[in-house]
Amino acid sequence: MKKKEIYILIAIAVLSVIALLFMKNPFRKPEEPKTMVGIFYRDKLIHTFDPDEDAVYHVQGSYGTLDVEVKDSKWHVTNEQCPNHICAGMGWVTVDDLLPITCMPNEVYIMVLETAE
Amino acid sequence: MTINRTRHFVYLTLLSAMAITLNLIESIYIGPIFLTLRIGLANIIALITIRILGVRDMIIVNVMRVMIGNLLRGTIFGSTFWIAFGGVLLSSIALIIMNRMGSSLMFTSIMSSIAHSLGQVFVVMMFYNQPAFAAILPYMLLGSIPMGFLTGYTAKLVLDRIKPLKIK
Repeated sequence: MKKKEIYILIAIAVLSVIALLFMKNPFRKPEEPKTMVGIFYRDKLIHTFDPDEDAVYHVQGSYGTLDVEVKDSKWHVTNEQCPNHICAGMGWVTVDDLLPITCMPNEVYIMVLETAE
Repeated sequence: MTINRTRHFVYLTLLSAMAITLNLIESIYIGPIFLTLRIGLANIIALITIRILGVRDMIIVNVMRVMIGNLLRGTIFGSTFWIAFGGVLLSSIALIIMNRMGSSLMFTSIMSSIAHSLGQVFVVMMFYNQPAFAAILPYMLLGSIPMGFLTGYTAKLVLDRIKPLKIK
């Protein structure tokens, strides 16, 4: 590899790491208004939940069903019926994670909504 | 001339078959390494094809890989097909640009891998009309570098061994 190519790759890696650090949202203020989380199916919001209330939500997707378990202000996907299991592999997510949990075969994604008053 | 054309056609067919097989093996037996990040084994074949047959044949191999691979998995024209198509489209463009610029095989492979991730994320964003999916990009870009290096190194090993097969 040429030197110039190595510098470009280092720049991409550094920018990605900086972006990852910012994604953890270190500037979130604790006194922010209540955050709600939305479950979307085919681009439509089908359910919202409060991450501070422990519960299990059953969602019907295009491929099968999946459960969204909310516990201790975190949520994750379990019992998913899809070939990839990427959504379950994403593990527990909190309001500080900007990355939505996505299940492509089921066309379902779960993401933090705009803060509600 | 006829022998060369036949040989060219046979190479193209063999490379397409290998790309489809690797694509299926990866999706069925290996799966994602982290989140949606995959090794991209079929990209090895794209790199080999562009180096021994040229740009046009690389596009044919990549299109065949996505079309037939998804057809065999039963996901043709579904969401996963369009995501794969978006990835292959951008990675093919990256391969062409890097090839024109005379970049090294490793760099070409890594940039193609990065472009593949960008293409996939872009299609997901369009598909769900949610820019928030861009949040996955740093993970994908960071992961694409070692994956691209791996596929590039493998392609280099293969190309060193199949040099005599190159069509003049």
